[in-house]
Amino acid sequence: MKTTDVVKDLLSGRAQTTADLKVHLTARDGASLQDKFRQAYWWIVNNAVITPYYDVEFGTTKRVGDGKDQIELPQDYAYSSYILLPLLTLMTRKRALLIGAPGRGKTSIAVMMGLLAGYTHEELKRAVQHGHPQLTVSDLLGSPLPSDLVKAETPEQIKVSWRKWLTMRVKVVDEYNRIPTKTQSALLSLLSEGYAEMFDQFVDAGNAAWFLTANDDQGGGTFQVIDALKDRIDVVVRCTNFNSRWLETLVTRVESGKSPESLVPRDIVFSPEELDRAANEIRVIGFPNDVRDAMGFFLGQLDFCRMASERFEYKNKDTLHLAGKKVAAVCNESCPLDKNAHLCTQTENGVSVRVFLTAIHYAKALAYFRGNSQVGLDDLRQLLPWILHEKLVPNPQSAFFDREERQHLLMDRVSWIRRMWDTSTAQFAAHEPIRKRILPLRTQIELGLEGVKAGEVRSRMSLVLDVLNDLSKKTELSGPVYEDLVQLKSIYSRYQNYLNWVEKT
Amino acid sequence: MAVAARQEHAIERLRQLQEGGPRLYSRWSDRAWRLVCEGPAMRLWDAIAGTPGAEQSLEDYLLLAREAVGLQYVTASEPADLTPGLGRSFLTEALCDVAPRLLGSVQPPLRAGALIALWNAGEKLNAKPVWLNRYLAARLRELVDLGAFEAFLVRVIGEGVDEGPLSSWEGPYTEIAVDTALADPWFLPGIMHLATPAIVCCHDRRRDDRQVAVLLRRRDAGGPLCLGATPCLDQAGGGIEHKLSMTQQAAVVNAAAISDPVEVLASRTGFAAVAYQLSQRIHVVEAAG
Repeated sequence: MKTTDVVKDLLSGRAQTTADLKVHLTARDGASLQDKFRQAYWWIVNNAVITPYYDVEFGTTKRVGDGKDQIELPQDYAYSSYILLPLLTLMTRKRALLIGAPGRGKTSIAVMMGLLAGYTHEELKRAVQHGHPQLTVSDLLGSPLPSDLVKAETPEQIKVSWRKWLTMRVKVVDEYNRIPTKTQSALLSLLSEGYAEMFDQFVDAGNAAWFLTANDDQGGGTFQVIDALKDRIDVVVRCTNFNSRWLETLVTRVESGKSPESLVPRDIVFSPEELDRAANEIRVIGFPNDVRDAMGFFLGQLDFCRMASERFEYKNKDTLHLAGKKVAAVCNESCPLDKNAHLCTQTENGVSVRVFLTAIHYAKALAYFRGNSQVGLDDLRQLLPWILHEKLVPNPQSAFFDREERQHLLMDRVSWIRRMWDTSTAQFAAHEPIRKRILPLRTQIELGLEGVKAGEVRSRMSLVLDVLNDLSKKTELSGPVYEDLVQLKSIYSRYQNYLNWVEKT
Repeated sequence: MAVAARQEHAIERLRQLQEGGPRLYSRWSDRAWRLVCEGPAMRLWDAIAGTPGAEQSLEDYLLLAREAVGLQYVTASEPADLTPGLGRSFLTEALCDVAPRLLGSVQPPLRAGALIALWNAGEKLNAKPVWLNRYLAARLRELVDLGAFEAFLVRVIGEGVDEGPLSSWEGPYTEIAVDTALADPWFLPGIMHLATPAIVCCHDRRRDDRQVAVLLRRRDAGGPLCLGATPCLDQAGGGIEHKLSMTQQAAVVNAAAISDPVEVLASRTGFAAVAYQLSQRIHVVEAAG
């Protein structure tokens, strides 16, 4: 490029002269969206929500103190889950439940996310849905125009005046555990199906980030929250208590008469296009095979219960629950597995496909936020406790919890789940030889069976059978081994079905 | 009355600009803004006060300065951070030195255009290779007429990237010392490499993360110039290797009677940058032919 062209390019930019010879600056294209999300995070932490609790830590840690009460100082970036998780929820358009005692800032952080999404404070104040025992479906969704009701001869002639909040990109439901059961069902349809229906008319709720608040972990309150609604929550955010060493900030806030919600800088407000773009960019963040396998190794073994049935396919906790039994009924001395080593003993349940999907999505968002091109194990380690917080139920009767030093894990879900993950990660490494044997068998069948001759199929089945025999005879039937055996059996069955078909035709 | 009204308007605009800072920018620094207003902005005002359109020119300048502070193009925690010096970015030099120094000599109707040119060049340079930004920032001291800003950039960029004629490394040789202590008081010249055929990046012998850049320029064109502290300037690219081979370098060292150097970087255009054991200076040897 010629020097004169280089200079001409330098001199053309977003500063321009107006007709009356003044300087005008057009809007900046902006730094990367990742950088903008990080800016938003730090602005909130430094100016809006006072939270000195940095519980999402990366890199190694330095330990201070000794005995039981140690402090871990992160040597890499550390974040507050209280701010980070709502931000990730905004980025992924998923559903977060904010829990904590009254006055902890649950609604404030949800409103803050709405402000980042470009809504005004006034719009958000009017749009927040406040749970209370008299909340009806009409209050939540809208109602038909009275004149239409009178005049109409068919349902299609009734126009429904839908509530404005239904189509907002950020939806806030305050104290969802005070909503009566019937109305919870309407909320569930909205949350799960993404639309609302009344008099044969529909409103599309669109892709939105949901923030629901509740006052305590149990989701109790005035009404029991229906399980299906609880199940739709993707992540739980614990809203932390105020640390009194930051009182000075509150004094300043009272004296100035201004709240942080009125001071959100424009350069951290995201347009709908930017949020869409971020959502797409998050989806293409890499999810390496070894990270995927480590996640599968951990989550896959939780549903396993060796004693649930003699039938191989039914050795899971669902079998027990369908019979009205709890894990404790069978997880005792009659099960040969070591309760201190195997994770299956610690939980009452496994996880659904929805949890896997949520974990993958949030992990990608966290990697994106950190500026990485792919997900790492540490992303999962930090996120899974929050994703599984309300999903995994501990088995308090497990011998694992008998030891005094483990009792606190029954009260602190985050530490409990993180500890399980760490145990699983160590087991994952030891499981490597088995994985190495199975991987080529799986890769081969995933190439498909078109054109594969019967002889070749029998040879492959023989290889699968060898591995099946080795695993079932030489290794202990634990959660991870069970998952492998299920996989091998399914591979074998596919070959068998194909062979039957080939021989018939 | 008209003067008083204009002053009131100016004060109100200043207040609005200031209040807008935290509303627009998440990285707003009140302190940096105050330092800009009390330092370069005041100097600018002293230069243009009383001339037609002075208030508007100041407002234009403050609009750009606010954007620079909000986006952290310009950062400062003490007044010294905004005084002209080596190692600053182009935009910092443009707003904190060039504009206050030269805008007063620009015809009032052309001042907006002059500020715009400085801003656009500075903001674009933030996204260009660091060596170009720092090189042009260091050369901005030589700019004496904002009306010739475009021509100045063309000339100076050319000097920075020009390969120049190849040298046969014949004598006589002249030597000019460039004092790196001006850029970094603790700097001790060590390993050197070429960022462009005319720009040397010299690494500190003792500290991994310290570098100083030097422009290799003929004596009759002004001589070599210290460009200040920089991050490591990666090579500007291009396939031409302007360093001499080790053998050739040894011959040059011999011919130019360079005794006991710690590091030598000799280029094909007839310059050798030399570092000595106990000297903070980079000695630039120039071959006549």
